[in-house]
Amino acid sequence: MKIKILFDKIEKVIMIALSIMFLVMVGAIFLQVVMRYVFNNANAWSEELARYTFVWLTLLGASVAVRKTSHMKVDYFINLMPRKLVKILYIFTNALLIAFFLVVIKYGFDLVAITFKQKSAGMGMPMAYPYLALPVGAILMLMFTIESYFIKNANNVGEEG
Amino acid sequence: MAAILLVSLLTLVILGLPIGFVLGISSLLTIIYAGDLPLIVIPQKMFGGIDSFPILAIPFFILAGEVMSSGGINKKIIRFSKAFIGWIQGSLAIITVVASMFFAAISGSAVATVSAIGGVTIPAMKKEGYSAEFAAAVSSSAAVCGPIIPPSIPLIVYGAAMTMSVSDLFIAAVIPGILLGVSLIALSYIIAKKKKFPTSEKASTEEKIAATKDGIGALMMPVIILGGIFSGIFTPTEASVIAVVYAFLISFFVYKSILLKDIPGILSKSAVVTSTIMIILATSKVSSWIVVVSKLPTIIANAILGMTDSSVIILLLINIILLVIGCLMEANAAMIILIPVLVPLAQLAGVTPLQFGVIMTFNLCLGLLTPPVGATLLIGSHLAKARFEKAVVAVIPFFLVGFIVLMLITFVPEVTLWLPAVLK
Repeated sequence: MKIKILFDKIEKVIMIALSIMFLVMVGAIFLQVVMRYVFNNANAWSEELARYTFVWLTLLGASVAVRKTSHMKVDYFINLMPRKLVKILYIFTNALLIAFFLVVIKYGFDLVAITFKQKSAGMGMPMAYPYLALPVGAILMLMFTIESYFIKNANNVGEEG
Repeated sequence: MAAILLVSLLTLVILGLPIGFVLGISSLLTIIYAGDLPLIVIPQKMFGGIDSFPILAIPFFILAGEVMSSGGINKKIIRFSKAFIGWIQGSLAIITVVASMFFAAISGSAVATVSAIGGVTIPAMKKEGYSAEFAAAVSSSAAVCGPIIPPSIPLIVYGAAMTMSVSDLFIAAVIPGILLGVSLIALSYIIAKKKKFPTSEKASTEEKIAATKDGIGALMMPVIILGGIFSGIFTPTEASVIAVVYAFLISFFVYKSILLKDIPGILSKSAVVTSTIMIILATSKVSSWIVVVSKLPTIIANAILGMTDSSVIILLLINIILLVIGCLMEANAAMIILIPVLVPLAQLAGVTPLQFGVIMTFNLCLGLLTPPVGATLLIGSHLAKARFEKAVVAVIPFFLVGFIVLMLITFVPEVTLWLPAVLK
């Protein structure tokens, strides 16, 4: 499957991005602590940088978690249900997921468009940049949800046949 | 409006959709049903749920825990505990609890604690002839101290949701956490006497000195983290980043147990774990906004007040609801969903949000031991290669001890509120 190879690469890139973002967050807040206690001089931008990086880290990390199916859920009841029913329910729940991601993408981009002129308090950066994490994260989650739906379906058919 | 939210929430959770997305989808359905609310609030509120300074402590404490486990800090803590209390009967079980309490004072999660401490002491216990299910039960219940003794991830989540001081919550949880640890030690000792578990030799003075020297770097961590927070020098977020830097430095330069090439993996793994909690916090901002708009808490409170006005019964009812939900749902997720509904109810019964934060955390963390979803017990029995059903039976006395402490916390406010008042 060509798609799988491509998505594997995307996941790898995200993982590298996550490591870098985490380092940025640790560095920024640690710097803030050092500045505050050693030099008695708080800087406004480092906390802001950490918070906005964290928004990106959350959304990108959540997309990887979709692919690895490591999001928290209650699977006790679904495991008790007959497999045929689960398969039908799976179509329904995936449709809902996709609808939700589409809403976050559409209105996320709306939010980005509105906030281009709005500058952040500390760094003076357009607020559109941190907000962009929402639609981008939702696009990735949408891609990975569709992928895992087809993989799961293919596996199910394989097991039964 | 409230009905749509509740019904869709419950249905979708039962259908096994990830909790973070369930909160988003139910909110979406409710907004569409209500008709007059703009959909742009969904991304807006989600952003607001993540963009917060106190919440930054969550990724940092998760990362610090991951670094410590990869860096072998857990082994230093266990060696230190063994040197000093190894001579007691059933010492390995007691060492497991003591080491878990130490680890809990650095890490904020039960899953991290059971893997870090149980991962080492469970095989050792089995070698000394403890049954696999007992080894699983004692290390899983000891790990419950992880999120109760501060730092604590559920308490940060609670503080963020309630916009109250995380430091105060941490201080309030100290005595309940120690109480739980001490009760578990007592219970382990009684069981060890009864089952005639073996005793290790008394450690020589040289070993005590060597173990202290070896462990001092690790043992200083709780002093720096908790001392810094409790004295008001650091905010919890600042303390969490110091924990990360400190853990890196001693693992990298002193213990030399982490290599440069391990670091990206540790970072990205912790990032994904963080995201699974954060996505729930993000979407819960949308749903809890709807909960408030729909006046759901008032509806529920009125319904319950119609049945009883005894605060004892209300508090017992709240605890039962939490225990049942704790059986099915991960602690942080349950916490986020239930806060907007249960906190007003608890206030009706005369419990302050500070005390209630500790009650909720303690209660939901006991749920880490209960089937079918007891995450900590699952890991514990997996590590011990014990059958989960047998571990569930073995954990019952430990759970009961935890339940007694829970009742103390619920009905004796001083257990939680005395220390914050003294330190103020």
